Amino acid sequence: MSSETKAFMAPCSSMDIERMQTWLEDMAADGWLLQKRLFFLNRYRFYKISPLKTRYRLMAVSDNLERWNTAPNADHQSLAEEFGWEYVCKCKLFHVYRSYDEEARELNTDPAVQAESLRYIQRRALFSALIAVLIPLAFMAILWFFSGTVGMWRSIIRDYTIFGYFRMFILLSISVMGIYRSITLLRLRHRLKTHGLPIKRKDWQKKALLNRVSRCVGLVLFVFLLYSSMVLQVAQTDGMGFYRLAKEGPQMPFPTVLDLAKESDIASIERSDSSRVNVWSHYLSPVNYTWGEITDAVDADGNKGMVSLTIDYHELCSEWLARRIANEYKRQAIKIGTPVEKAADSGWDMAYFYLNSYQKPTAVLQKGKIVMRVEFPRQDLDDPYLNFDHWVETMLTKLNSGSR
Amino acid sequence: MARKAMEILTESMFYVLMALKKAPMCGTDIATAVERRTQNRVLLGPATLYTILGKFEKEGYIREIAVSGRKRTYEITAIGLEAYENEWERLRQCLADAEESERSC
Repeated sequence: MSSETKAFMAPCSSMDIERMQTWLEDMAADGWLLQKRLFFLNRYRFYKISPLKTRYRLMAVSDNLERWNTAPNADHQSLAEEFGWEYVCKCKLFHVYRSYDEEARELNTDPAVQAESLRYIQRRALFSALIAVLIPLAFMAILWFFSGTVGMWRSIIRDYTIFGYFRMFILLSISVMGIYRSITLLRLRHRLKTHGLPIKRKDWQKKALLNRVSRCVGLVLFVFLLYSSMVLQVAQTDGMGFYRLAKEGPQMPFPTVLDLAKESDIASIERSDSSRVNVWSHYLSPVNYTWGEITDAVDADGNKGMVSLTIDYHELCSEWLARRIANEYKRQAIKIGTPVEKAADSGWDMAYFYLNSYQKPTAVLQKGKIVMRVEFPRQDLDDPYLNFDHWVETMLTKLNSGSR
Repeated sequence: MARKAMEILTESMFYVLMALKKAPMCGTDIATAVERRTQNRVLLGPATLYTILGKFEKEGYIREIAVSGRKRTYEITAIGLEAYENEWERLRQCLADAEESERSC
């Protein structure tokens, strides 16, 4: 046997048994004998030989144990050898056998039994396809079930970053490929069982170029998507993150405690070092803040106290999504809080006021694409401006004037 | 009502049980016995044979009784014998129906 070897990309999926076998036989006739399957891009290594007439047959693995073994059962191999077939290599879910003897008995002589032997791999292909779809559905179902505490939509806008879309693309691709493979094998099994026709030669050149190009394109697309999602993920998080609030600023789309203090005659007010803001962005929700502002204030009479404000603020991509998010906040509020009656015509698209589990005034507010959950955990001073009601009023004025 | 997969014995399966009913055998001997019995009409390929033996072992129709190197010897079980006899009876009935149909023509 020559020492010259070369790698060739298969013109079809290994699940297309007849085309694969025909291709291998034609390669032998052209002077290339199969050595082994390579890991990447469905490529195979071949020896250079004199042109030879051979037969190749792909035997499907029959169970999980055989699936993970690198070689077939010793007795299967021994039986095949007694009938003039040598074992070549493993090709994914198939063992490849080869015979140089034209008179050697076929490996499969009963089409119905052969159809039965393909059952395991056909079910595996379908199983892969279903799992790829069921995983995200199960994830969504769990989030929906726990919507009172987590919220499916809130989890999506928080957790489903670009990487999330990339994962979804991969799962969808796995599902589509699994369905395609399952259908290919199902059709072959059906033909074997109902028509009793043996495996035949098939023209592999017909779609060879398309198959090979689509594999290369698929690989390039995969690498490109992976790279760009990592780059975009970094870009998306540029400026995002969890920050300590400075003593002044930043300018926010909602009134902060310091903003409210400008209207009052408070003697002094200072933001504490434990004030924080978490900033993030998502395609479904471009602007998001989790704001936790704690201030130490002294009023005109010298009374000291803390005034703190926490807000979960979202600007969604659509009003429809904003309503979904607002309803999730509201469902959670109903579970843990005590509702508070407010004026009917509040000016908000949706407003739910309640006392939280610490008996502090809280509200879920939605107007247009904006959703907020706002609470004043501390409101020690009796000031007409540094309080929850005034904040709500100021925010509504801001939204109505378009100066947000 | 449709019969389940293993209720339907193909010709190859039937002859494998027939061979094992005679005596415990390994795969090669089964193939040879079937060839002789059918005068080369039914030829069992190695893949067909080990698929059938694997399925039969799973269903409890046969059991492995000896391993010698890479050769495994099997014998038929009571369940396998029952399956064989049921199929024999079915085929006998088919033949009887066909003969009666011919006589009545």
